[in-house]
Amino acid sequence: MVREELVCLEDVYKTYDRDNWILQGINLCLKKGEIVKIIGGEGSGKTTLLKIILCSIYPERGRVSVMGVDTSSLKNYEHILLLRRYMGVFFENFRLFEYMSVLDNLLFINKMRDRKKMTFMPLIERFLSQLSLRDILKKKVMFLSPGEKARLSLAMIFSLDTPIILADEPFRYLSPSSVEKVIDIMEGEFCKDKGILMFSSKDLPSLKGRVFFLNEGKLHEIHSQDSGQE
Amino acid sequence: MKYIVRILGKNKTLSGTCFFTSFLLTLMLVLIFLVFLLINCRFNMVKSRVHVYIIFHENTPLEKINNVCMRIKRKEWIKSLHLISSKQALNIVEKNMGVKLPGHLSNPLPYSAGIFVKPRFLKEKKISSIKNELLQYSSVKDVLLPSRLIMSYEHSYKHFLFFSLLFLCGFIVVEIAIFLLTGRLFYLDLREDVLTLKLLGCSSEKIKMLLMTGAFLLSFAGIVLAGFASIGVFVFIRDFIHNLLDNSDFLSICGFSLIAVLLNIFVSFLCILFAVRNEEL
Repeated sequence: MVREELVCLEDVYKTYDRDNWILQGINLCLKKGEIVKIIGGEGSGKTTLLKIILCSIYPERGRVSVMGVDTSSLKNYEHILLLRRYMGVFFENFRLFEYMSVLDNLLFINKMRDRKKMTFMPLIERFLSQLSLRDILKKKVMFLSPGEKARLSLAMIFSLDTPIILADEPFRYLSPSSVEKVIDIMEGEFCKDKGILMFSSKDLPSLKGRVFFLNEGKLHEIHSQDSGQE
Repeated sequence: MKYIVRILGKNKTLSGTCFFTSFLLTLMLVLIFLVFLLINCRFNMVKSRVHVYIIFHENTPLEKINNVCMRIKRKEWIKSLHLISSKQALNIVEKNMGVKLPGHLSNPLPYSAGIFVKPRFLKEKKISSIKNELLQYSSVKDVLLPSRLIMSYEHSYKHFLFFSLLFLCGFIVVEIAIFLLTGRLFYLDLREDVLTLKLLGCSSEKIKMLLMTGAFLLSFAGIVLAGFASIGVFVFIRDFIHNLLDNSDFLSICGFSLIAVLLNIFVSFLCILFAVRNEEL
């Protein structure tokens, strides 16, 4: 079966000071219905890779395409923002609107993305229940625990219903029961047409998918879901 | 709208500062207008006390003098006119100079008229044309003008106008700087949220509109409140200044206050437009 390519990085190199290469010849493809986990320690280049996919920074060499669009060809900033609409991003520091309530955060981002209420409301309802956020619906984000913030951030990403989900350390603050719930969503029917690219410092074996190890700027595939090799 | 209120509530101190900045700047502008108008009214009041005297020919019949006076009263530049008889003129001279006309001599003084000209006509060029106009009447022998006094007033008034304009321009420049600064602070405070929205693919236009509406709402509320506060100030000081002003002056004050409010709405809008930049984040 040929899967549609959502994100594709070919021979990507990145440096900030021309001496130390943060990324060296990264080749990676995220396809529809696939989960790719990139494991790496601190300073291994995970966040740089995420920024490159988000078109926040550009690589020195190589080609990056998102939804079939070569990101280097995007001259207009508005086109970059338009491309980001295909991506839902979980940030390590959550990037929530601290002064708004849980519900307002979910509604606000969907409205700012010009999504129709009838499209996003059922999803919000669903993930509020699935991620046990109903009890803290009116609570302001600034008063939430990191675990609650992580669940809210995930609910926000899922409610945006984007074909690509990028997640930077999504499980770090989650309790084991919450991790199970998130895995259920990621492996379930809802994400079967989406591509999930996850960055973390340690692997979560219970989540299926291809696993890559990012070390000294180089990406090594350590587990392939298709081949089952390790 | 709900989310704009939430955003404004993020940093209440900064939102309050933006609101009070607009409020104070507008109120100050209205009060500056008021002070300048009051000074202007004071100038006009002093000007309106300047007498112009018409001296009639000695043997002009009273009927003809009255006729001329009636015609002069119809002129657009006239504020008031009072006829001074020969006897009244003599009394004034005797009283002011402390001399008495010997009984055997007849009164040498002719009929005259003292007129007050509307302040806006008390300018060197206009007053000269008024003098020429009056001299065209055959019964008018001479017109006495306090030319030096008028010139002196005109000179002072020009200085006052120049200073008012300079002060207003200076104030508006400072106002623009303050509006720009508070607008920029407002934006910088929300910069992280802007970055989040952009990373999640919200369009620049939508984000800019959200921030501009928020900032403009704050400043607009402050300006409108200042408009109401200035009405309160007028009501409070009206009793103290009513002898200085007539109805047209009160209308001018209302007009200038409205101008101040509209000017500040325009200035704040322009400043917000520049302060909320579309950064490529």
